[in-house]
Amino acid sequence: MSSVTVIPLHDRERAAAERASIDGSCRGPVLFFTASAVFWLLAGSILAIIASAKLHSPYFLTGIPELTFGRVRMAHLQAVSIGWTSMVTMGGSVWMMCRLCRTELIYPKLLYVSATLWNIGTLLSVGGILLGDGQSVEWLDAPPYAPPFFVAGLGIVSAWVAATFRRRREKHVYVTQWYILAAVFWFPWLYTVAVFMIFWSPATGVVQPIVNWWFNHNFLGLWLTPVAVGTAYYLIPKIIGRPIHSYYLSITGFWALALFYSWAGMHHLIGGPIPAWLSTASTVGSMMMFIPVIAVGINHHMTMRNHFHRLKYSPALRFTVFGAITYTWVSFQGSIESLKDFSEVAHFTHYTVAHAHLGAYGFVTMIYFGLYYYMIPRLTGREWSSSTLIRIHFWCASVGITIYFVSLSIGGWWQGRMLNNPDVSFGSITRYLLPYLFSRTVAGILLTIGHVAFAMSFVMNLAGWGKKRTGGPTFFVEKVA
Amino acid sequence: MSTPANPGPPVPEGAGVDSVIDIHRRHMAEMNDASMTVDGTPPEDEEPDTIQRLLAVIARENAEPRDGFEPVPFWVACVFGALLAWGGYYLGTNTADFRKDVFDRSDLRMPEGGAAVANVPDPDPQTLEELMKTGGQKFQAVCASCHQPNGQGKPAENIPPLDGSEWLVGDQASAARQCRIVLYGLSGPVTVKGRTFNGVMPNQGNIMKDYEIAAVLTFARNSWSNAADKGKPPAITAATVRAARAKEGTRKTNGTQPVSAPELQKLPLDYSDTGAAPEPAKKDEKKP
Amino acid sequence: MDRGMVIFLGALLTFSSSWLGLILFPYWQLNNEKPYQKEPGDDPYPMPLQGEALAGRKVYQANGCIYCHSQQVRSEKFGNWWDENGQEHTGADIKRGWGSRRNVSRDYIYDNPTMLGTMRTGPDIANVGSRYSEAWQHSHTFNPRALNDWSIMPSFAFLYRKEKVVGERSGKALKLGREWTVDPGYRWRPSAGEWDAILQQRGDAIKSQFLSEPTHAGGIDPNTPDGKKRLLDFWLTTEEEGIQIVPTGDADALVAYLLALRKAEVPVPEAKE
Repeated sequence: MSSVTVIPLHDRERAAAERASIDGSCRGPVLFFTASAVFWLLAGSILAIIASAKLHSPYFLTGIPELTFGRVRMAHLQAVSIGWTSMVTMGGSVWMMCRLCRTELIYPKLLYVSATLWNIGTLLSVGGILLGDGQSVEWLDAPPYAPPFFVAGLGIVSAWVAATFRRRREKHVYVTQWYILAAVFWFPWLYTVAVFMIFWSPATGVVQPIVNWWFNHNFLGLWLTPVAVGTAYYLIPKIIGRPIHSYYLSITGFWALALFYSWAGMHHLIGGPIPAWLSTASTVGSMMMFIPVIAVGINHHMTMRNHFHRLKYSPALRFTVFGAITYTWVSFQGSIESLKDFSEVAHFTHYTVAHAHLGAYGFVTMIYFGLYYYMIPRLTGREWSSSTLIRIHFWCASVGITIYFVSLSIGGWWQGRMLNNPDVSFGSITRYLLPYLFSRTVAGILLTIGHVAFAMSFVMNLAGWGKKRTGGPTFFVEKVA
Repeated sequence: MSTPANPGPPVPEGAGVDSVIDIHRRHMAEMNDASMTVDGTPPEDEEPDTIQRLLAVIARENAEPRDGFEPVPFWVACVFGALLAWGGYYLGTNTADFRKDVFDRSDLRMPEGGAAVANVPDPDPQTLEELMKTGGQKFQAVCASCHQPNGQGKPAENIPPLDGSEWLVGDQASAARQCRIVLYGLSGPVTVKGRTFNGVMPNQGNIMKDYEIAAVLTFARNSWSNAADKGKPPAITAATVRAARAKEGTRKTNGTQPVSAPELQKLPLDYSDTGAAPEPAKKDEKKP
Repeated sequence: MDRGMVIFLGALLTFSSSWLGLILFPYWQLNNEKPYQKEPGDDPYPMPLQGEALAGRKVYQANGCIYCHSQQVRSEKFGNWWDENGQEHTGADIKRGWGSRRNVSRDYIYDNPTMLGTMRTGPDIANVGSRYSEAWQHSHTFNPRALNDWSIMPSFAFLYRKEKVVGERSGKALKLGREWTVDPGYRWRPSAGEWDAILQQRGDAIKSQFLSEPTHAGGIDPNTPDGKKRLLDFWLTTEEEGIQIVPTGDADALVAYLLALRKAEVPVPEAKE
C-alpha cells in the first residue's frame, strides 16, 4: 500500500484515453487471433473426447478409418497446441505488448495475414493427419505441406513484436515484455532447428529424438510458459491494483527459466537409448527449475496477499490465479518426476499424460481463459452478458481438470509399478486401467461443456447478443439489488 | 469525460452492505483511486452509446502494472544455493565423462571394489524348481503366444502342441534335438502326435540366453502332462545349450539356418554334445 | 532491464547454451554412427529397411502407432520391483521378453523418423518381429480382440478386404472365426431371436459340424438353453462360408515392417546392460 501514490484526475483520464485508443487499434487483429483460437479449442476438445473414449471402448467409431485412435490423438494435439494455445499466445502477446509499450498497433494488415496463415496451416495439419499424412513425430506430426504456413505466420508475429518494442513510448520495460520478447525470439529458433534436423536434413540414430524432445519440451517451456507467466504477471497486479511484489524475484525467475528450462528436455527419454550424460543433464536442468518457479510463485503470492477475497467475484482473476497456483505445483511435480527413481515408474504411463494436461490445461489454458475474460470486454466495449455461463465455465474447467489429473495420476502410477514387474501380465495392466481411462473421458466431457459455455459467452460478446450490462464488470456473483 | 468526484452514487436501497459492487467500490476508494470508481447503477435514461458508456470498461481500469522492490528473501537464496550445489554434485557423478557409449546411469553404480562393473553375470539355475520358475516366466512371454499357455499349440496355424509331444517326452525326445529346435528354429514338415505340421518355428538363439533356453525347455518338458525330468536332475541346463551351440559351430542363430525334422532325426536319441551334462554336484553339496 | 539489447543478448546466450549442449554436441557425438559387424563377412547390423517393410513404416507412421507403442527396450538394471520374498529385481523389459538386451543409439541409425514412442498403452515392440508370426500379426492388426480379449488397441479392419471366395480360398486369407469376420472390425454375436432363426434354417448342418470335432463326441442337444449356447459358441469360431478376409497392400506392408522390427536381438558391444 505504501507505494501507491494518488494520481491526479486528468492524468488518469489521459491514461484511460490512451489505453482506449490502443485497444481500439488492437481490436481487429487480436479478435481474429482469439476467435480462431476458440474455434480450435472446440475442435480439439471434440477430438480429445473421441480419442479418450476409444481407449476404454475400442469399438467406438471403429468404422471410420480417419478417426482411428492414432490419427485422432495426433490431430487433437495439433488442434490444441498449434490452434488454441499458440493463437492465444500470439493474440495475447500483441495486445499486452501494445498496452505495455503504450503504443498503438502497427501493421494490422500483416497481423491479419499472419493469423490467416496460421489458421490455414492448422487446418492443413489437422485435416492432413486425419486423412493419413501424419508424421508420427511427437508434437511435429503436421504433414510436410503445413510447416511453411507456420513459419510465415510466426515470422510475422515475431518481427512485429520486435518492431513494436522499438517504437515503445513507455521507458520502463515490464516483466511481461521480457517474457514475450524472449518467447518470440526462442520459438522460431526452436522450430527451425527441429524441422531442419528431423525432416529436411534428417539426423541419424537417436539424434532425431533428442532434437525432437528438445523442441517439444521447449515448446512448453520457452513459448507457452513465458507468455502464460507473463500474462499472470500482467493480470494479477493489474486487476487488484497493486505492484508486483519484487522486481528482483522477477529477474531471478526470468533468467533462471531462460537458462535451465531448455536443458530439461531429455527427461522424456530417461532410460532410453541415449547416452547417460544427456539424461543426467536434463535431470539437473529439471531440478534447477525449482528456482524460477519458486521465484515466480512467491512473487505472485505476495502480490495477492490480503486480496484473495477478490477471487470470489472476478472471473479474470480467478482463472489466472488458478493457473498461476497450478504452475507452481505442476512444475514441482515435473522436477520430481525427472529424478531417475520416479521416472522409472512414471515413464511410458498415463501419469505423464496427467502431468502434461495439468500443465497445458491447468496452468496455461486457465491463465489464458483469465486473459479472455479481462481482454475481450476491452476490445469490444461490451461486458460479458451472462455470469451463469462464466460460472459454468469455471466449475466445469476446474472440476474437470482435477478429475482428469487425479484419475490418470493414480492409474498411471500403478500402471508404472506393474509394468516394472514382469510377473504381471500386460492384459491385467490394461484391464486395471479401464476405470481410470473412463474417468478421464468423464473429465473431458466436463471440460468440453465448460468450453461450450466459454464459446457461447465469447460469441455473444462479439455479436452483442444477450443482456447488455452497464456499470461494472460481470462478476461471478450477480449484483444484489 | 466527466466522472463523479466522490465515490459513486449512494447505495441503492435494499442492496445490502455486502453486495459485490459495494465491495469493489470500497476497495477502489481505499486505494485512493477516488476518481476511478465504478458506477453502481446507471441512471435509467442514460444513452447507450455515450463515450462514457462505451469506454467505461477501460476507464475504470487500474493503471498498468508496475514493479515493487522487495528484496529476495534470505531463505529463498539459501534454497537456490543448495539446489545449485546438488546440481553440480549430480552432474559430476552421473555423466560418465560425457561418453556416448554409456547409456544408463545404473551402469555407473560403483561396487566396493571401485571399478565400474558394467556386466551383471547371468544366472545359471540348476534345480528343476529354479528352471521351472524362470522357464514359466519366459514361456509366457515368448512361447505361449503360439504354443498356448496350455501347450496345445494352434493346429490350424501349423503350430504343434507341446503337451504330450513325442519330441519332448516320447520317442523323438532328446536334449540335443530340443536345444537345436529352439536355438536355430525348425522349418519343414514335422509329425507331432500323429499330425503333420508344416510351419516355421522361429529361432531363439540370438534372442534368448542359454539359461533361458534351458529354462523354457525344462518348463515344456515338465508341464501339463509332461514329466520328462521327474525324479532326475534336469537334463537341460545352460551348459547343455552352450554345448549344442559349440557343436554346431558357425551355424547362424538368426533364423537363416533352421534345423529340419529329418536332420534332427539323424541325431541318435542318446547323443549328447560334449560338455552338455550339468556340472556334477560338489562333494559337500546336496544333490538337487 | 530497460534495454532491449540486454534482454536479447541474455536470451541468446542462455538459449544457445542448450542448443550447443543438447543439440550440436550430441549431433557431433552420435550422428553418422556406423553399423556393427562382429566378424568381417557377417551381415552388418543394423540393415536399412527395404521394399515392403519400408512401405510398411509409412503405414505405421500414418496411423500414429507410436502413441501407444514404444520401441525402446530398457536396460536390465532399470526399474526396481520387489518380489514376494522382498528381493529386489530389475530389468522388467527384458524379463518380459521384449528384447534380449537394451536398445542403444546404433539400433536406430536407419530409422527415419526414429519412432521411439513415449507411451506403453500397448507393449514395447522394438523386437516384435521375433515374437509373433505373420499370420498372428495379420489377425491381430485386423481385430486385436480376436487374439487378446483384454486388448484396447483399435481394429485396423480398414486395412483388410472382405471378399467372396472365387474358386480356391486365398493363401493369404486370415484364419478367423465368423464372430470376427461377419462385421469386420467388430465382434459379432447374433441375438437370441437371430440365433433361433439360424438354427431353424441350418441347425442340422451346424450340429453335425459340431459333432465332427473329436472333442465333442459327447453329443449336444440344441433344444436346451445350455446346448444352444454351446452350439452358438462353437459356431462363432467356424469360418464364414464363401467369404475371406484378405490383407490389402497396406496391411501386407505394415506386417512386413512389424516382422522386420528386431531391434534388441543382435548383441552390440555398447549394450552392456
